[in-house]
Amino acid sequence: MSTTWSVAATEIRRRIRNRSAILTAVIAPLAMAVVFGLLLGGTDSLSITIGVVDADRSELTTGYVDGLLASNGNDSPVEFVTVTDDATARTALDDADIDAAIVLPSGFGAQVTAGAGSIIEVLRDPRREISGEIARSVAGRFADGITTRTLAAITSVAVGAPLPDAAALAGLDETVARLADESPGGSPLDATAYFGVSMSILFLFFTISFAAQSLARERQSGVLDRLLAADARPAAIVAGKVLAVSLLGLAGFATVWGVTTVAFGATWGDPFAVFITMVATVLAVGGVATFVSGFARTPQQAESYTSAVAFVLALLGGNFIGPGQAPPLLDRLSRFTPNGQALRAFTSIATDGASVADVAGHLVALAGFALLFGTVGLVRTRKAVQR
Amino acid sequence: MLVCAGLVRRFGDRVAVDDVSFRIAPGETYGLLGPNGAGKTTTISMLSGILAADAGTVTLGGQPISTSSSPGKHLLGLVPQNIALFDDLSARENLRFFGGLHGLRGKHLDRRIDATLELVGLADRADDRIDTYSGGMQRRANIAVGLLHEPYLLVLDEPTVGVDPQSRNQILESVERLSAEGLAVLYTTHYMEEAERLCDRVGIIDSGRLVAEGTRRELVARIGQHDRVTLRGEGDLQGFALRVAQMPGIVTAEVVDTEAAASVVHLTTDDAGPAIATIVATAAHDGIAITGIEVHEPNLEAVFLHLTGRALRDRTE
Repeated sequence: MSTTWSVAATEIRRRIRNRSAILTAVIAPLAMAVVFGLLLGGTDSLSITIGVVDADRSELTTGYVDGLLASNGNDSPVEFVTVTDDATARTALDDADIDAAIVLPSGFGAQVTAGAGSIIEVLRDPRREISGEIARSVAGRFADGITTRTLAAITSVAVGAPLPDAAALAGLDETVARLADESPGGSPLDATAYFGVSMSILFLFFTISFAAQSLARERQSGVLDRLLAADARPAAIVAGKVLAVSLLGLAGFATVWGVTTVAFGATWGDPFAVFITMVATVLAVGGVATFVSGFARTPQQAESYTSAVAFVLALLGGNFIGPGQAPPLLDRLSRFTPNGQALRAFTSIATDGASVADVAGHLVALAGFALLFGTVGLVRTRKAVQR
Repeated sequence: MLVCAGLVRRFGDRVAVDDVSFRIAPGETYGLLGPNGAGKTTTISMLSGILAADAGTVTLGGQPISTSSSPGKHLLGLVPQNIALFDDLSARENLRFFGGLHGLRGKHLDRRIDATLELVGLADRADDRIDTYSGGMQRRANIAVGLLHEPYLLVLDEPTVGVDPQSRNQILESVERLSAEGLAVLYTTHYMEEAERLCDRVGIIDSGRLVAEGTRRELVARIGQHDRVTLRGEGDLQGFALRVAQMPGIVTAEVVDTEAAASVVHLTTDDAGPAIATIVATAAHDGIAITGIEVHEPNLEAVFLHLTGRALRDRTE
């Protein structure tokens, strides 16, 4: 055990001294989180304005619109405003005065009451997908609430964009509905917190790949021979390296958490749940990175293999996409990545106030990634050390 | 002290080390001489417990050494061919780390670090990072790590490769000093002159096999070569040559240039050391005015050439 600690302490000292750990584990993810946060959501809470056009003015539609207006406030990121008519709504959407609009057509109440189908139009701007999806979900739930049999459909009319097909709309339902459901009651989804998590996960791969790079470099320089000649066990050497980079990764993750919270007012949720999820994420990413690095024989290979896998998993896991924006296929694929599981857990903790118990499923999945890939990776790396 | 018996190591179909056996006694400096690729580093890797042997055993101080954990490993100080140090740490930090692996702690470790740095002449640069050192200083720091835990046997794997002549001389002097203090040394090199200067005994390794072993004199004798003495002088050199050739220890004596003002007598002897006194005394007795005398001892290069059919550095330089 003392060899493991000794190797780990030396590795941490070297990483901090040459600034590689600080750059990769802290500065890069923090900078990326802030940039993504500013670009895709700002550092404030998600704020969406949805215009509502009641061209019908029937008892049914008036009551519905009054209900929407009453939901304004209460820390909701979604604000509903009334708009006089369809044309005004389109102009307001073009001018970015509103982010999306729901149009209840003239005769809607009568048609519905008569049992005939009707149409609720949702005006969307392709540049503001989240808002459009939330508006569509709100309208959809209204339609569902009246009767799923008699209402014809929800039609999304994108300003300057083709109509999405029915299958795509159906696939988006779950995500959109969740966002809309959460908006009035849950905490707002913080873009900086989301991308803080997202980018920390991405850069965890690079931080953890330092272990394999370090081992490969020390094999070339003869340091590894010297360690083995000093009766250090290969498993202890590998464990020391992995422990060091895992601690650095965790410290970097926690620093991003602290800085985004203090400096940008980001809300990550229950600290205990956040910390436990962080540990699970570090272990899972550590397992995958160790597995990938186990195939490398040179520092360059370790770096390039890890980079490739990190970016593929980041793309599949949704690290580069804002919350709730993943297309259905990607959303499903992301469940099979440590990134996707971690992002889901952190999102639940931040927006739903989820506890450790609430995200236990995600934690188990992360632990599974850690155990499966980590074990194989450690065995392979150990064999590479022991010639 | 060190006993290597029947070491074998294969890499695929290639036999890198083939049945290599040798011993090193306490205080002895043993040279493993051979060209690059001969199997020196592979042999060292096996006897240091870095590389598993396919066959054979190694014991040091009675303790077996293998790739498994073994107390015998702490009796050995390894100085790899490369600068096997963390170049972004200082010499002191490197020594502290490796000392810890050898079980040194606290004040004892501090004392050993100071003493070792003093020994290799790096005390005044102890807290500077290794990557700020010159090549020679890095070599000395590399050696310091091998000496830190006071091993019974210091293993130096080609420690002078790529260093400037001044640093090379410093390293050789350090090895001579350590040897004089009683440390056993295993020294691998493909520089014949280093082996001749430092080593009590030499093992000549080629293509993975230990082809000969012994003191320089034993190796030279084994190939039938003699020391040569060249005497320049004036007088009856023919008569001198005939007389001295009859004396014990003198193998041949031949005048090679009788027309020159100062002719030359070439003599071969079993051992030039004791023979030189006889030669000089006989010359004085015969009234020869000696103007010059040179002794040529057959070197390990000649031995290597004889044993392998090629020069030691054919494949290296």
